[in-house]
Amino acid sequence: MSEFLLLFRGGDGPSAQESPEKWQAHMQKWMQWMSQLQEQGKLLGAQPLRGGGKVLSGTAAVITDGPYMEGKEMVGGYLICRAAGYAEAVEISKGCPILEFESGSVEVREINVVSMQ
Amino acid sequence: MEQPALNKNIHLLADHLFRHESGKMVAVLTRLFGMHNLELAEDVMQEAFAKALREWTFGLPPNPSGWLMLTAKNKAIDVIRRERYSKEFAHETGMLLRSEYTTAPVVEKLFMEYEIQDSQLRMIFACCHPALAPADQIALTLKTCSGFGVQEIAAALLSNAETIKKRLQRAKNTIIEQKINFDIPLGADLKNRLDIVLQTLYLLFNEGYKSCDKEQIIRKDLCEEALRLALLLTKNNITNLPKRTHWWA
Repeated sequence: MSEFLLLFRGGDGPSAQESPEKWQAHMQKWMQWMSQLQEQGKLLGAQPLRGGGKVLSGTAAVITDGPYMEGKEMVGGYLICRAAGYAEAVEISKGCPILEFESGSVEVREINVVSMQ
Repeated sequence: MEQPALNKNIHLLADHLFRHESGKMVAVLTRLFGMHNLELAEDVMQEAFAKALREWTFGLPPNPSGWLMLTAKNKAIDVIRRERYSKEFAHETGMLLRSEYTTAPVVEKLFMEYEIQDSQLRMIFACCHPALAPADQIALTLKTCSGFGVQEIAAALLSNAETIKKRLQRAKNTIIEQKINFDIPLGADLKNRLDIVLQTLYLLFNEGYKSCDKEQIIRKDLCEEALRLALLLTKNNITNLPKRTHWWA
């Protein structure tokens, strides 16, 4: 079993202000998807992210506001799960509700094992 | 002198609601926090009532029991956000309460009417767990399912407050030590566990019907609680089993 990080981008879903019903129905789908992972013991963590933020870069750690980019490039949340390999991680990702939107995407990355030798 | 009268009414209303709503609230909160955090669930329920006593002096909400449930729900979310990395909550919800994707939806779902009943049933089974001594089961059931205070339990069971306190504490320790879960048992296990629940409810009813208290021959409140909890069992498909051959069925 390896661990995988799923990065969610884009998918400007219905906002809570716009249509509370649609937003609730959308959040229900996140709950169903994640509950299934929880029951299988594969869910290790997940959080949605607010827009905006700060970026520190370079040896001088220059601080800028951002990342300002197009909505579909912005990381909107992440999930960490257990999977046997990329095949299973991709299969898990297919159930992600962000893919209900044309602009939504899931980036699947295996978490590295760092040894000190 | 309207204020003192209003205050008195609010206290009477709160007492009435405590009897009727506290069991529900503790059941739902325990479903979220886990049986091992029963005391935390009781604390949150009591905070909701304390807030009601403070705020209702300025005017009663249109739906006091709804107000209490909503307050308990909001307080539950606060507790989960504050303690999600330092406390282990219910096994059933696990990682879901660590994530903001799922925390509010999970809490929202468990506060729905249907789920509240399910949680109350789980609480009856947990309080009547065979790992607990029969006398402790009754005390714990009256405390957590029926909202009885220590004094009331002592009076109901013709005991004293000290003994009841000790029983409740012993029961709570056993719950944690034996990792008593918050499930409705399934399959063959259900029959045995249900028998114990029915026996506890029978003893509870009997204590009311044929009270040891010479002053009061029939303790109506105990009978009512036994009936209410037994009715809850009949409202669920799993626990609404046909009549048994037992003499109490």
